[in-house]
Amino acid sequence: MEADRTAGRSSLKGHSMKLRRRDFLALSAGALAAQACGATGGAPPSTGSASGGAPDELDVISGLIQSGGPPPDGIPPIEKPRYVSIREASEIWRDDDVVDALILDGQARAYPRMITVWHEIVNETAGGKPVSITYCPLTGSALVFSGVLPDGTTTTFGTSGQLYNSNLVMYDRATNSFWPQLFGTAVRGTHKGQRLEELPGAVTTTFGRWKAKHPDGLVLSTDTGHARSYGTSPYGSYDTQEGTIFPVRFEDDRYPQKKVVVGVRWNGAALAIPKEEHRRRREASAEVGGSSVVVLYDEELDAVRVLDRATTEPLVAYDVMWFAWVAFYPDTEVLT
Amino acid sequence: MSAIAWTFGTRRAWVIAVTAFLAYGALYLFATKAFVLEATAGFSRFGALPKLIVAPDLTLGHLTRWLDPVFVLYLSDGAVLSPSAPVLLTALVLGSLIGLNAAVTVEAALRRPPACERGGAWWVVAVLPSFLASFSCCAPTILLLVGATFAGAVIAVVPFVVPVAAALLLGSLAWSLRRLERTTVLAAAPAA
Repeated sequence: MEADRTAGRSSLKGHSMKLRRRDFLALSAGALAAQACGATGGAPPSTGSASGGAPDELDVISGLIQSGGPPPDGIPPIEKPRYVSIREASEIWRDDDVVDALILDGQARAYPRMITVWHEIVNETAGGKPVSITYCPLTGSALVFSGVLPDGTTTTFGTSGQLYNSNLVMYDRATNSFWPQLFGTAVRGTHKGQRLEELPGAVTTTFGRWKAKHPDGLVLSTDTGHARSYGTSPYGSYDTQEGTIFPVRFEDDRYPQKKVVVGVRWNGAALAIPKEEHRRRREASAEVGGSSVVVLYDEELDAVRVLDRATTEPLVAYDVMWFAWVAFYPDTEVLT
Repeated sequence: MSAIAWTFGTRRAWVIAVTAFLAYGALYLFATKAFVLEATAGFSRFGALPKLIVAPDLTLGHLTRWLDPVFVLYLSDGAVLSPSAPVLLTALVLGSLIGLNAAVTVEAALRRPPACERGGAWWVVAVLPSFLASFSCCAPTILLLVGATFAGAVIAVVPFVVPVAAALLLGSLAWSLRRLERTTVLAAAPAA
């Protein structure tokens, strides 16, 4: 398989977002390189906790953060998640309802998007340490972060009400640093330039598929501590309509904006795997950041898994809308 | 006789006011997605309908939180009502003002007191911001209304839309009532 290294057409959008592309690429490359430097050996940049992100680029990003409307925690995270059994959840959720799912503390857990679309962050603990399951409805991305900050401080995360590239900007409640979800690096505050630890293994699948694989699993309860009209989405048909609500920094028309790709960051490089195409391909190899990775299709969960070929360790890989991935990583490679 | 009493001296005025109030209230709740109709939603999965869930963390803070419903009422398999306190209050206040303005204007026009021979429907001007207020807490709705290009600009002004709408409606109502007051009071006064 060949990774398409041709950068697509990029454009600057939004009157307050004037930055020449070559400047961005230089800065972005610096940021990614710094992230890679923060990781040891072949570890993914997403798991390093050392410094990442060139200061100039971080300032640019910080300056481009804009209000999404709600105040801080106006979209309230779930602070004390409760769970129900798969059997109980089956009375509520349909087999084709989308969930983000992972194994936490040895327990299979699923987070229905019909709940998380209203909260965006679930503050949980695993192994006695804080972990946050995050979901940005505007970019369709779910990532799991450790709540242990690079300096060892533990924290929970809140929704800042701010966006960058239409993507959720989280803030940590220990230092109020700002962390764009898809960037994973603080762009403002005490931890500016430092990366959060991202936990691999989370998948986006359907309730029915997860239930079949983990019949003894747990499912996030609608008893969230908040009254919300679960079963509806405040974003309507946003997932399938063209167009973004908020400006993004770079555009690339190789694919429709809302097309789902699986994004991987590894050794300072970014790779996008169009999900629909990979369903047919099933298995592929790719080079990312000079390292070899294996891209597998998990038919059971209709998910894409990416492994480091050398260690067979899973890399952090997650579904994300194409427009958002290229807005963050305009020089991404694409597995075609 | 006060202008308000004069206006609501007919059954028609009440019908106009209540109809305008209900129509605006329903539209406002719908536009803010506090009232959702979704045929395939299947809300009965959450329990026997109708089902009311009151916010478990209800505090006075809810009075200022636009995105925090105070209750969720699943009405049927495809209809749910989940207003926040500010949305509910805005619907009530702006809906009442629009109802009052509509009744006063229509009654004045139909019963033709001298004060209303010209003009008198300035409240219509205030209806636009009051409808814009419907979009004050829902960016996707803003997108549908004005397109992505202007969404950011609209979000910047929405905090002012509700007070501006209320002020315009109040001003228009006060102006109409004062004019009516003069004419109806004068008309009722005994000749010197």
